[in-house]
Amino acid sequence: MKPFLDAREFPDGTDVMTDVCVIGAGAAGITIARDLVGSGLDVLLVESGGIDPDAETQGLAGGVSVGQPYYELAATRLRYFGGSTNHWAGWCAPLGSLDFAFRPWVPASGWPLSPEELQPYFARAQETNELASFEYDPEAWASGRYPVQEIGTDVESVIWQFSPPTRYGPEYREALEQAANVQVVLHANVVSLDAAPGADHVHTATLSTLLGSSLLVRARTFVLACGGIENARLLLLSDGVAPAGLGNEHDLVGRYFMEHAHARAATCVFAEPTKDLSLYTERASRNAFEWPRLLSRVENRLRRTLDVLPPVVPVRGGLRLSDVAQRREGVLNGAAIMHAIDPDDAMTADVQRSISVSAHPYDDPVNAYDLVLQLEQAPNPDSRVTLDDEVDALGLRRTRLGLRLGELDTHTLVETTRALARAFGTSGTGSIRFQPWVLEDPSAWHDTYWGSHHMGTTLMSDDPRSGVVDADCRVHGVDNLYIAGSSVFPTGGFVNPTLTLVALAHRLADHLRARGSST
Amino acid sequence: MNRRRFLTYALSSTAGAIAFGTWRWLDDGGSQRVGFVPDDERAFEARVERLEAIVGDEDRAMVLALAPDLESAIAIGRYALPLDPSYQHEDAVLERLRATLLDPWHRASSDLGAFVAAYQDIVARDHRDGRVVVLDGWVLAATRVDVCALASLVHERVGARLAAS
Ligand SMILES: Cc1cc2nc3c(=O)[nH]c(=O)nc-3n(C[C@H](O)[C@H](O)[C@H](O)COP(=O)(O)OP(=O)(O)OC[C@H]3O[C@@H](n4cnc5c(N)ncnc54)[C@H](O)[C@@H]3O)c2cc1C
Repeated sequence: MKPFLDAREFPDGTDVMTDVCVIGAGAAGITIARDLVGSGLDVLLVESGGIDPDAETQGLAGGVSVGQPYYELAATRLRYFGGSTNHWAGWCAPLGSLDFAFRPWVPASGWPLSPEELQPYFARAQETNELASFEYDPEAWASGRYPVQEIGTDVESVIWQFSPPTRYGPEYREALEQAANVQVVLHANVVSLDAAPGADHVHTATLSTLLGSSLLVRARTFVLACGGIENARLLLLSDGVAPAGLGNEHDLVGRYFMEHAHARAATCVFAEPTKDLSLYTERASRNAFEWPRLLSRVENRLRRTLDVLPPVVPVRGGLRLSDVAQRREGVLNGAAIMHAIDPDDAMTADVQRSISVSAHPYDDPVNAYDLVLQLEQAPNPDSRVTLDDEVDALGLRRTRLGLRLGELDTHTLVETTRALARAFGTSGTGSIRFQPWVLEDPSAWHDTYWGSHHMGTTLMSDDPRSGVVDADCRVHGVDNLYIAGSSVFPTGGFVNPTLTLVALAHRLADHLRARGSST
Repeated sequence: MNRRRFLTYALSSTAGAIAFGTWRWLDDGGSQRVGFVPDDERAFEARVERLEAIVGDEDRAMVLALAPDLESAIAIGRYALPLDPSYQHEDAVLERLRATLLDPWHRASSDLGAFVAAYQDIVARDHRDGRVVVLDGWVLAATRVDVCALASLVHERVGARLAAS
């Protein structure tokens, strides 16, 4: 067992050599480092923060936000060992096949990968995130206890599995400490990737500590895994040879930034007020004894170790428009998540009673639910990360985030709500109320919050003119620089990104192993 | 109530747009509707009779009996009344309901179960075809809103006796 290193204890100017330098110890970076354990490659995992959070390092994550009102940037990611998994919520679901496809009504859509190619890596990502098997068919989870609702042909149920949530730092620290070929260095901020003339090969990464010292890392391969915003920022900051930034020959780095808007778009009531909606309104658990969370985790550990019974995890359902309906309406992907509310207006009760199929509608409780639409964002070159003039404590230009939603996003918000209303009405399921702002001023995105899901700033494409990395996640035109994380997503679907980015990280690790053994 | 919230999609095409040769129970694709059992039918008939005694004619009574809870229907109708002139006259609303619901039913059947099913069918088709009225954000079938508007207008005329029925 070897302790992690602290960059602040190295003499200024220290030069380090390794085979693979992974920059950033969050979900993506830790996954790759773990997968390279025993690979025969020397791996250096470089992390900006320490084992615990500290305010000064966290301050490096700050920036300014222009465009759509957004959170303080430092509040949307964490800068210490384990990265943002130190506060993620654990919602996991894979992208669907439509998400990977080219959709004529969604400009710049289409992945250069098929869902089938990712399938085995999703299965591995399930384990990494301490989930059950790769099963996202709601019927498979319903098991009679949590009925799946049928709401006409346009609407389908989807489910999320919940990670405990896995805190990658504490969870995987020991494995990395024990690995003979992996070294972790903390309190080390990569401030630039230094390329050879021609900008087609990175020879070193320059690291700075907050105490003012510097280190150089020479590696055969570099993997940038700093999160969806910071990946782009570091490429833009690496302008020593390429003035527009590394990998930015086609002015794509930082563009196509995508989030998941969570729009409180509607309220609904049901014609059967006592309908069992537990799959959709709570974290339904199939654990035999409905353990509290901690015990479920222990039970799952046992199940995994004994390998006789599959682990069980809580799941939650949502409602989405079918692929056919999305195509017909020309909308992006999105899912409605239900939250029970206590309506304080008489109209809600009146509507429920008016549509009720119950024998005594007046005696039934008024069961109303907010529908929060978790929406895919259209890829948009003007939604972007650039560099601000203000600098951080290391003297580096801060992030300037311009999150921008366009017409297709607004169209999706309104038409998805309308299509849900139609499906509820046509199937006799219930009735939907548009929130006033969705009817009156949808492009203002009033009652909307964000997922802290940062995607798309170094997107993946086979063509260097339309993407920053290729299907292997290698930066176009740079032979030894790879990117891990949701910044490579060409489109982000509506599902939370971590399961997919971890699947991609497993895939990248396999690629690096294969590449390592062939050189 | 803001008039802009009152959006009518193709409301004008409500009248007479639906052919009733194919009344049926809606039991397809996840429908939540429940059919009449004989007891329901007797209860519905009794309700129609009670209402007829209050409102004075069978057509109005039949329509009002469709509302699972009359008080709520009256309240929803109140939202609709000021929003469009077509909701302000009892006879006009009833005429529309005759054209969409009552007359085709009279022609096709005398079965009360079929009457309720036909109403549910129209409500579903209203939604499918976009004949909806948005009241305070709630997306409601145009025919359902007609029923509620009629309940409100009748209530204005006959008073509390109606809600109590
Ligand atoms: C409140 C919240 C809730 C969330 N809930 C969910 C959820 O339920 N489901 C889901 O799928 N996703 C969720 N997410 C998103 C999820 O946390 C991220 O998708 C995931 O952590 C991204 O992994 P990553 O490895 O790409 O980046 P990160 O986990 O952010 O890791 C990046 C690492 O890089 C380090 N780093 C950054 N810059 C440098 C540098 N210059 N030099 C060295 N190191 C650097 C950072 O310190 C950090 O450790 C949530 C996020 C937040 C903020």
